Amino acid sequence: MNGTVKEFRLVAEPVRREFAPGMVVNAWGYNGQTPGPTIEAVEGDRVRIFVKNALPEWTTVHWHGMRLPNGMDGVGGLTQPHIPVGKTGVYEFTFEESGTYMYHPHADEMVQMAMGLMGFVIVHPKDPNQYRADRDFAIMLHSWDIKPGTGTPNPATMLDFNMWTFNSRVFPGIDPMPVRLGDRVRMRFGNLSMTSHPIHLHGHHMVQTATDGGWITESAQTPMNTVNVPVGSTVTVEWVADRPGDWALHCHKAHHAMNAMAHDAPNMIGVAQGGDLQKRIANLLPEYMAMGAGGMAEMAEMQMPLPPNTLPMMTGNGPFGPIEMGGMFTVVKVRDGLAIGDYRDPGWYKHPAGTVMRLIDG
Amino acid sequence: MIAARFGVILVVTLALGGCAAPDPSGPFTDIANTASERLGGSEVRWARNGKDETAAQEAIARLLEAPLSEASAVRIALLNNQRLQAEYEEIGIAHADLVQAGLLENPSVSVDILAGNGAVSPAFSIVENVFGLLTMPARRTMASSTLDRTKYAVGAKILNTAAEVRSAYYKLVGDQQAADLFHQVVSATEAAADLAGRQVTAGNLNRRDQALQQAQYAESLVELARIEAQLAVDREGLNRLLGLYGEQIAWNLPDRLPDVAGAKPELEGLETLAIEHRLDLAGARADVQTATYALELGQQLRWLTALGLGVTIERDPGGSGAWLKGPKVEFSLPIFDLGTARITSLEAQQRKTGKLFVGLAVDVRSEVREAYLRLAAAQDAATFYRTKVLPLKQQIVAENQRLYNGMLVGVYDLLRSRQDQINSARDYIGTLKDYWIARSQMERALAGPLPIASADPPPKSP
Ligand SMILES: [Cu+2]
Repeated sequence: MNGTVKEFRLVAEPVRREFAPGMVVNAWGYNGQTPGPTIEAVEGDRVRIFVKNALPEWTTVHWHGMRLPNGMDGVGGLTQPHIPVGKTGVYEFTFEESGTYMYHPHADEMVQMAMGLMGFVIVHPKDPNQYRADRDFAIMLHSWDIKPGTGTPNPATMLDFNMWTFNSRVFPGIDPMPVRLGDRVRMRFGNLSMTSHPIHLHGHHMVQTATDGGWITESAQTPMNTVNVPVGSTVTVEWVADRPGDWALHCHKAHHAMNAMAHDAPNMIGVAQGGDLQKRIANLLPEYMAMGAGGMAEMAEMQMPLPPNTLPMMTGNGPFGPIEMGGMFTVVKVRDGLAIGDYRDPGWYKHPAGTVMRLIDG
Repeated sequence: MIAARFGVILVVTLALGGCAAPDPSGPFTDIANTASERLGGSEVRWARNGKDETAAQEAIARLLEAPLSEASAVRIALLNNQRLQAEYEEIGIAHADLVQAGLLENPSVSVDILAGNGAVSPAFSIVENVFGLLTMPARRTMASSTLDRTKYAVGAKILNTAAEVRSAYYKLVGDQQAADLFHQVVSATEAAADLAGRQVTAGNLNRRDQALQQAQYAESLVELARIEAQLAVDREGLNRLLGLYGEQIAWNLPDRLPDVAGAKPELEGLETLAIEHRLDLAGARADVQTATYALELGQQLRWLTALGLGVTIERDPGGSGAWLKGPKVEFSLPIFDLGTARITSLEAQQRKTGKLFVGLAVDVRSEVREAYLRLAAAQDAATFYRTKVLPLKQQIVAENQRLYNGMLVGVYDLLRSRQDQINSARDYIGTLKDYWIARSQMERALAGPLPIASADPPPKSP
């Protein structure tokens, strides 16, 4: 606080971001991280935000979805001069409405967002009991094109992204989301990638309670299991955690719940490659193994050497075996008896006897 | 006066007439030893009878039992190349000429019947023997010089044949090794075509994409056939140089070329070495001496007669490199010709031999530099391939294998990168082959082994 003004300091700079153990990305972010720190304040707060530019080129910050004076909107050249390298830009305005917003550059926007410059602005209602939730998660969705064996996103890519992130992390590098049984859970999603993401929650019904345009009246809220998060939007959903267990939460575009893979590799499904042919190829390439004939599940089982700084396309292990996922995938862990504010991983769910699928012969 | 001279001539004739058939072993051994030493000890034998021939064939049979080495190929050629053996016979011919030059012609008697005034009076003449006696030292010197030059020519032929054998040998071993590698390229294209067929069966590939793989396989088979035909041709070239036929031609080769041997040579000193060692240059030097001698002799004997001493030093226009003619001695009676033109000719011939000598020396120096450049370039290329290109190609395959493991590239890309690696290995063998051929050429240019320091020990890989 400075007098009656809440002050925030952002430093836009190159950062090293681990997507998951085994892969570190040369990104750009704020205050050493991507997404940048979430700016939280209360409806009606006067805020002053210092943006220091430690990037190799000029930048600005646009306060995405917020209502503010035109000169604070952050569009380089249109509503303000750019913040040159080494200088600090000062934004000052009042957070007029509670809700979920984003911030990101509006200068060389394509490159700067592709490199990871983004963050949330969360404005809480003045009345803490209004729109109250027990647990509140904010998840920024993004896509990246990082060629296997490299570490720097290619900002020129428009469609062929290969890494899909929750808060610039990929499964199995994304923390589980522990939730107390009976909690009202809020999940805020922001999407600064170039495609929409239908986020699917297992085992629960949820309702969408807000967009970045404001709160949705209760009568207009529709129940859903999957909420589509459009490009350049935030979407807020809420649900009551009434089913204990380990519940998957993921984008339902299947490729978005995968790590890097080839999309133009020959299709080997159903192609017999074994026997003599396998041997002949192995004579030329001793490490060769025929793959893909039965599907790609073997990929998750075999631990073959990959290029450096490259995650397996599908990976992760659960209590019953390989989870075979990547990208936008994590686990919501609904447990009885968690303390308020305890976000530690409670481990794998212990299923009551007779409540797990069983195998029979044939 | 005449009677007295006749007596002297008779004595000389009888003394020489008692000699046995000329034996050219000595002159041959001289040059054989020189050539052998220049070839690192390879035996040079001249088969002059059935016994020699049998011994040579037995030696050849033994040499052909093991895979042919550079040394054994050279040995076989020296024993068995009939054109080389024919060249050895030149020594026999030149030596016989030398012996002949030491003999006086059998006295010829001419009888003239002079008729006049009703009377007939015969007159006897032995005049020619006088000239024969007077010119015998000159003829012997000339014939000896011919023998010398024949020896040098034979020596040069031996060394050149050895260089040709070495070049042909390394070309064949290198091409054979590259051909063996090409079989792996064929395996790769065959596997890709096979996979494509299986993809079609599974409904995963269209006919066009299958045909692309099949076409690559078919083309690699055509290329293999072309390579193998060329190998057979090269093999025949070596068979001819080694003089082999019939059952002898079933010889084997080692699987691979030796690596680059030794440190990179220095050019310094090589030209001088070649000038000292080249046998064709020694022959040209002998020609200069002969022509100089002929000129001096011509000048001394000018008062007596127009004694013609000539040197013919023309090469065989057929390209064999052999000397067609040697020095010659001519006589003529000083009736119309008082020898002035003859002396002018001898002077010109003397200058000519000198110019040819210098010209050849200039060529020899240039040949050494050229051989050096080829050798150094081939050695650099081979070393660069071995230390830089091949490890990179290997790394590309290894990285592709990792990408394949992650399903980040397909099997066709993986096979193609392996093919590419094999083709680079074939290119490397090509540079290694160039290196060994260049070494053979260098040794030909130097008329002897290339002085070479041993290589630095290769750096330990990390
Ligand atoms: Cu998605």
